[in-house]
Amino acid sequence: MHTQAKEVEEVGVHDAAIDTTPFLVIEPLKGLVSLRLSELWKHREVLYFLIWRDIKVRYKQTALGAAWAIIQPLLTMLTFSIFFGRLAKVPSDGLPYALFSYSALVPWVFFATGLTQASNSLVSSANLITKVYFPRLVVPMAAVFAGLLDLTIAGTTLAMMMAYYHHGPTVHIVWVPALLLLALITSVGVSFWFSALNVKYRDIRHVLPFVVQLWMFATPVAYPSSLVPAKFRAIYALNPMTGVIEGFRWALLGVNTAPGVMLVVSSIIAVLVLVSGAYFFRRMETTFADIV
Amino acid sequence: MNRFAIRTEAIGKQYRIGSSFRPNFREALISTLSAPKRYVWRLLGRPAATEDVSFWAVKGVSLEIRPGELVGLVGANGAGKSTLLKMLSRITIPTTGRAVIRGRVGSMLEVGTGFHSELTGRENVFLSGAILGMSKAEIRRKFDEIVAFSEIEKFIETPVKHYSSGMYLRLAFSVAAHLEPEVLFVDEVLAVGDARFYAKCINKMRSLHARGMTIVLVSHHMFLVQTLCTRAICMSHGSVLFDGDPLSAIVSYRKSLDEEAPGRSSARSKSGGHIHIFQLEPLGEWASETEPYPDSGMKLTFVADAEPNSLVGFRVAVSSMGGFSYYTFYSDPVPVPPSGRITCELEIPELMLLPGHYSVYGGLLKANEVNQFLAEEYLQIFVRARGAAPAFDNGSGGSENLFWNRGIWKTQSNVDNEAQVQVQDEPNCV
Repeated sequence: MHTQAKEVEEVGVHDAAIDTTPFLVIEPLKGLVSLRLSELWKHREVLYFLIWRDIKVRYKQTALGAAWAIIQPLLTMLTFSIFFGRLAKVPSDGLPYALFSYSALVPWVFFATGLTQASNSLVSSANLITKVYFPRLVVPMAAVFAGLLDLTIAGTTLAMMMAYYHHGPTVHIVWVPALLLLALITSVGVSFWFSALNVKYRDIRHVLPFVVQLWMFATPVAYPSSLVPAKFRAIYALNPMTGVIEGFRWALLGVNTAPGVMLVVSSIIAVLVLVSGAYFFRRMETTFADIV
Repeated sequence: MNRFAIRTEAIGKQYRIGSSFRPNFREALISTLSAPKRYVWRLLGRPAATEDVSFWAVKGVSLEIRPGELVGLVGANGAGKSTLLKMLSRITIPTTGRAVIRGRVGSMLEVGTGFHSELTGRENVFLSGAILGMSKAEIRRKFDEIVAFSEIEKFIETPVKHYSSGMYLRLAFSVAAHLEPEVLFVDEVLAVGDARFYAKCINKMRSLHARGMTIVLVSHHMFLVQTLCTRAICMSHGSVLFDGDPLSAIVSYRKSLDEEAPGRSSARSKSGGHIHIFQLEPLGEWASETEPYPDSGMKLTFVADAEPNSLVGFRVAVSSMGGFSYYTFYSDPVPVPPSGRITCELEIPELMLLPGHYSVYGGLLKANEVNQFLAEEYLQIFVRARGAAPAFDNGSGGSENLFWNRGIWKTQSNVDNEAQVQVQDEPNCV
């Protein structure tokens, strides 16, 4: 039942001399799935417009508009500061707890929101998927990418907070774009898995909030990774978001030393998740229109 | 030289319903856990408790469509037309066989693909255009043309959620109509808007076809298939029933409908015969293909199938969309030739209808019976007001008048003992 369409740019057999129109071959899937990245590249404008739509629509008819991009991590930070910082006295690597948690919440909220939006993206785009063809990979990608604007806004408030605490950035700030790329790869990779699964198993929608919450506690958002016993660190680093957030605190706030090993492990895992997610997605893609 | 735009080779699509389709984890889990039990049952030769139910929406369809053909795809609901179109548009993928398409493909399977209600008309043109396969530069270049075609210039900066459904459909169709693929698939979307915009859409399709585009069109509107298509394919239960000239395809479609539902009594097809409005020919001046003026005339040609050697009669009725009948014509009884096929013509020299929407019904009757319909088909026209109609000529459709008639005025007024004669030859109302 698994099938695949492929585009073959070749010359007609019968009238090779005059006809160079590309062929489109539509047939059941044979052998391995291909990622067809060139096709994805051809449809980059669709991705661009879907991102643009998501950004335009996200805060339409909300009273506070784009302020939500700040309010969400800010309120979480306040809650954490009161319960973890003040009451539970969770250590914060010598930083003010508010700054400590907010610097982690900025990339974390990007990841969590992107994942949540993307996982539901295919189902909520059912009207597109059943009516027009384009590589479906762009749908969850657009949902994640649209969060980059929120990330920028939240990042600006983080800078303001650093100024307030008189905590200047270190020279390692040059690593921040690379760390954001890692966060992006992780978000897109996980989103490929969840969005594709959600088409077939709507259970994902119910499982997801729980997964996101557990994942946050498995990531050093509210506490420093130094609390984790050394022997579990290797397993701990298998969570790519650990690398992102530890790296973020190191590059921006100059806490601890460079989490080198952790970042390498996180990056490898993130790329594995992305590639496997893309293959899984391409495999499931052929049935989306029939079951969405 | 073997030149084709679309070629399908025994293409088929199977859908599964029942136990093999597991919509959630729980069922998938139960099914996995009970697999050994099913295996044992099968070994014992007992039928499984739940059978896989699968059906072929399309089975073994082989077609070859040449570049520049405008092919109508007709068939009852569930005949597989839409599934075939979806496979060719790469939305869903075949279970068997294959298809080869030469050239850029565009699909119009729905009006408003990609539209978002919160965005403005302008934003939606770009969004929908990109999703349908246009590049940003292409949309920018055609933007004015798209908006002009939709006739909603004034509201282009308004969110489409505030549009009337007609405005929405017009804009959406305009975007899709400006795609320039080499192969275009259209599913029933032409049934949008008012009669005037409908005529515009038809003309657009015709001009795309004239430019050499290959078009495959699914429609339930037989008159459209008849007048627009160069070839028609009738499908039934996933297979091709007939492939050839539109008229024969329509007759085949009508027959397949009756076979499927013998007791059916819709206005379109009644048991005992088939009728098809073969041609609507304008007499006098018409504003467009489906838009006469009040003083225009028309000629209708019918093709009907009835029991050989029986006596039949034809009936044409013109009524408002609300069902109010304006006039009805009955033919004399005609004997049906042994072939069972009979044609007839009706000329109406002057419509005399007020501007507005009308339905023209063509019916096949048992001879000498006023209401014994064997079959009926209808088409719609929109009577247009003449441009410079005087104010009292109720150009808006005439709530206080019933019909239109020609009047010739001659007025005389005595000024300075000099007789002045004015002659007017303007259409007026009675």
